[in-house]
Amino acid sequence: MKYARYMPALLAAVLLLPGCATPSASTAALEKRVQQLEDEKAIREVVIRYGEYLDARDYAGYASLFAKDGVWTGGFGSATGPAGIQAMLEKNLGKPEAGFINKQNFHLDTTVVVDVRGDTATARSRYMFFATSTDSRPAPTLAGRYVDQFVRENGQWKIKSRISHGVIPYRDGNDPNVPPPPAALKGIIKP
Amino acid sequence: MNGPLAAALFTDDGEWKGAQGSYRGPKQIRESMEKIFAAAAAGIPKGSNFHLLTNVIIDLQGDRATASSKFIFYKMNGAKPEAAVAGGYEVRTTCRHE
Repeated sequence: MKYARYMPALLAAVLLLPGCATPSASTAALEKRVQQLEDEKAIREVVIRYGEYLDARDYAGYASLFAKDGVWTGGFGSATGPAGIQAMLEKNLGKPEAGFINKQNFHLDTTVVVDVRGDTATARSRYMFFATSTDSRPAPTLAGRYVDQFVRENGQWKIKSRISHGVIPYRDGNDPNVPPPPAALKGIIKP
Repeated sequence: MNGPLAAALFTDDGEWKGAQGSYRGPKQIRESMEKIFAAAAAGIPKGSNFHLLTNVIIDLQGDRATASSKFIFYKMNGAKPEAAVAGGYEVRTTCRHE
């Protein structure tokens, strides 16, 4: 081919045309955007599973959502890491029953806003805790919001810390003095 | 309430299982839904109730997916929405290439 020896130079010129993204550059950008979406999806699912594991009294599943140095703070005090958190919950709430089906209450988790920064992230969300009323209807009993710090650990998003703020009834999640739960929850939840 | 549109979301061999029974295929699902919801909505003025759907987790595997979610069915009590029923959905879905 007559122009064969000019081909590498021509190709380089085409690739360097201003405004034309090279295939590798656009693939990298797309990968980054997809990763961002996957991270957000994974974190949203942790926020939902947090409530579902609690509802199912699956304390092992619940504790597995925390990072190695993840901290749980609440009415029972404070615990660090999955094993410590699971042990603390089982000590205070008892071992979960096999095949337990919760017919009394559930968490509704919504309005999740996720901000991913590399291997750490912040998630803000809202929850409502529904309990069955005396006439067997779902009654909203607690409304609050969570502020979570996440960390990527072995490729999985884990909770580093969670602050639970009460909206109705109001409770400052940063206040170490946890007030007793409302009367409507007597016998349903422990502190 | 739009039974035909809701039923059209199902595949030809799609199945709907719930407390009110088990139904297969868009036609059977549409007929049963219309019957069930007509009975359930009796006495509730049109436009005064809604489903709130949340806690959605989707697991996508190629052309198939499973999804779990929670719902709360609200109806109006005067000017106030009141939660009437709460439940969960487990959905298995497949992508139909037209």
